[in-house]
Formats: sequence, structure tokens, C-alpha cells
Amino acid sequence: MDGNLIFLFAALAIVWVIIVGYLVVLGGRLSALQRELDTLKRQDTWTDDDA
Amino acid sequence: MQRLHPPASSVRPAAGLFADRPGLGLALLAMLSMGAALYAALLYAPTERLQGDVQRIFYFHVPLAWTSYLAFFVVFVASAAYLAKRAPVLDAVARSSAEVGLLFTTMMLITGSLWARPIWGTWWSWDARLTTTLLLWFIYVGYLMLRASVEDEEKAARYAAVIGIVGAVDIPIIHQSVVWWRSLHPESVVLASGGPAMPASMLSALVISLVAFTVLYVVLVLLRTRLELARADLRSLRRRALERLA
Repeated sequence: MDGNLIFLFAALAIVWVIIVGYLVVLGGRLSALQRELDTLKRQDTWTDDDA
Repeated sequence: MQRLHPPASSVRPAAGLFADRPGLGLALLAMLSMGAALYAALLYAPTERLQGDVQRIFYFHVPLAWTSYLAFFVVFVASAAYLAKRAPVLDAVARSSAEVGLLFTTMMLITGSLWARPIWGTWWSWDARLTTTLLLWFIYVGYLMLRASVEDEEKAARYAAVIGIVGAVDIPIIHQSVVWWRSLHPESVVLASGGPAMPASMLSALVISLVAFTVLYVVLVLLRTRLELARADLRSLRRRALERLA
């Protein structure tokens, strides 16, 4: 068994953790946008219906 | 009654996350190609005689380097185009590509360090290629910090575009650093004069991995750009709402 195998698996694990982590961060940003959008939807200031 | 402003429902950031067919197709392609890259790197490629299995880091480290250069080249092109045309979508592409490029550069530096430890006997060396790559990393950290700190969006986009153009100068310097200065890094084995200096099986594994990381880069930038554009739309809606309230 190659004694340096731990470095290979550490490299692989870090790459995948960073990629998945970034996707999670993007998802979080999307959720924040969606929440803000929902808030704006609840406001009637967008249309002249209030006028 | 007439609707004076676009309704909030017209902005759909949810469509940015693989919700449409091309986005879903690209995401599936990225997953499949990354799976193929894993197979090629860990199972298909032969074990290097001197370094052993740790040399397989090469199949991630080199594609990460390539996609980092690609990302910052896209920042350069989009930034120059933004300064010429002032189209917000170009700024969104530049910003997204800078963020993804920084992510890939971070992974490149980490995988390089993990490869260097067993082979060179050190985690880091201040040789020309590593130092210029670290400089590249700092340039784009600065780029994103600038974006976050300047409140005026137009001004931030303009300043960042200048950094995006100037920062790209480091890319050819990194590439040539192993030729210009003494370095622990070997000279290019793929673009060597006289053809790639590696067996065909290693070269095909590298090509598969290059394609996979390039597809992943494209998917992440598209995703990030859509998010950026949706955020700009929301900012505009919020501004209009405040104007109407005033």
C-alpha cells in the first residue's frame, strides 16, 4: 500500500468539499433572494392598485 | 388599472438553479463528466513509477490550474467589454468568473501543496510559479473585496474591471515562470515542444479531467451569473418601491 495515499485522498476530499460547499453557499444566497422577493410580493407598492 | 412597475413575481431567481432545461442538462453533464474524471484519475490512469499513487493528484491539480486561467481570462475579456459597452450583464459575468476562478485557484494551491509535501518534502516553496500563483490569488481576493466594499454599484464595477484587466497580466507570467526562473515545478509536460511527454493513457485521463473541470466551471459561472442578474433585478425593484413610497 502506498504510504502517500493519504495525500491523494485528502486532496480529493478537499476539492469535493469546496465544490459542494460553494453550491450550498449559492443555494443560501438564492434562498435569501427568494425571501426578499417574497417580502416585496407582499407589499402592494408595486402596482397602481393601491393608488 | 395600469401597472407602472414590473411585478416582483416577474423576477424569478429560482429559475437560476437548474430549473430550466439547459441548466439542468449542463448540471447533469457536469456531474457525469466529474464522475468520468474520478474514474479516469483513480482507476484508468496507470500508476506513475517513481511517485506512486500520489501522482494522481496531477489529474485534478492541472485541470484546476487550467480552469483558473480560463476564469481569469474570461474576467479580462468581460471587464474590457464592460468598460467599452457598460452592459451590466458583462459585469455580472466578470464578477461571477472572478469568484469561481478564485475558488478554483484555492483548490489548485491546496492540491499542489498536498502533492508537494510527499514529493518535494515541503508544503510550500517560494519559487517563481508558486509565488506568482499566490499573487494571482491575492489579486482576485482584492477584486472581490473591492466589489463588496464600494457601495455605488457602477463605480464598483468600473474599478473592478480595471483590476480584472490588470490582474490577467499575471497569467502569462505564471505560465512562463518555470522557463524564466529556476523553479521546483517541472516545465510543461503537455505543451512540451515535440509533443506531450507522457504515455497516451495518462494523457487521455488528463484530457477527460480537463473537459470535466471546464464543464464544471461553465456551470458554476452560469449559475452565479444568473444569481447576480436576479440580485440586480431585485435591487432595482427595491429602489422603485422606495421611490413610490417616498
